[in-house]
Amino acid sequence: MIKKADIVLTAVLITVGLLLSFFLSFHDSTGDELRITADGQLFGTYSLYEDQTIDIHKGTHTNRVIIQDGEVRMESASCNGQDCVRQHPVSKSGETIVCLPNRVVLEITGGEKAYDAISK
Amino acid sequence: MTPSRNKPAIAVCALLAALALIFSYIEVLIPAFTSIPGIKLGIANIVILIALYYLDGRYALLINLVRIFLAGLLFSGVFGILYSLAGALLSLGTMVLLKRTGRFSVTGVSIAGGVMHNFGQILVASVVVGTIKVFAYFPVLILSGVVCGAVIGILAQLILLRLRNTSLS
Repeated sequence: MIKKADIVLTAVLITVGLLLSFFLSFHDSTGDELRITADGQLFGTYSLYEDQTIDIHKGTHTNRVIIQDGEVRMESASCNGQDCVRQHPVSKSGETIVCLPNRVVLEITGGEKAYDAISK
Repeated sequence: MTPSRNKPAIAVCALLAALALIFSYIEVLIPAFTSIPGIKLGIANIVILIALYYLDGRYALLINLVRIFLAGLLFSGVFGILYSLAGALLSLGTMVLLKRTGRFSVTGVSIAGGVMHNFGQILVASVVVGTIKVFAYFPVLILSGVVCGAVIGILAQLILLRLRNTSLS
């Protein structure tokens, strides 16, 4: 009733489908801008296409953010938790790194042209 | 496999189209399968599979088109027709090609048909919504396509076994 070829066919369908789905849904979601908010105020926006190091000084708090190969990570932070430093680098639109004690929020934006055109 | 005389074939087509339409209606009535978007058992595909194996691909296409337009107008509207059409054409095209290779059983052909049907629907959805990101939902649809396709395929195969000694035309 069910041949070996059927099982191979099903496996191929699932594999190709999953790859296609993975590729298509994540392909264009990479953001192109990093938006840093400190103490609830906009600190600055930075392009993800340039590798750079950003130091954020707010009162006694310091955070160092590094943009490298289109990914953003928190290099160091003057907080006790260090959760933000341990977090994996972010690169996709909508992803965030939050340093709660220092009230610093890193957010990836852009990646969709229509959205950029409206927000700029 | 193709019936030699024309008139009985037309009558059989009409009969199968009516049956497929009724199955589409039954499917609308089953609440469990309409609450999750995009997941359908595809009972009508039993009829299409039987048309494909008992008659041939052209008859299956004809029956499917009649079913889609009637079911679309009756239950879901013009957009529903668009979704069904994309899914059905991809699905039937794949099933005809796979059947022609002779390597796969009815169940395998049905599984491929189920997955391709969902692929067609998500293609239309990505055009309608305007973003390719709806493909993030595709894994769910692949899984449902495989499971439902297998169930439908086994059912169709059982029916075809019993039809083997019967002549429809």
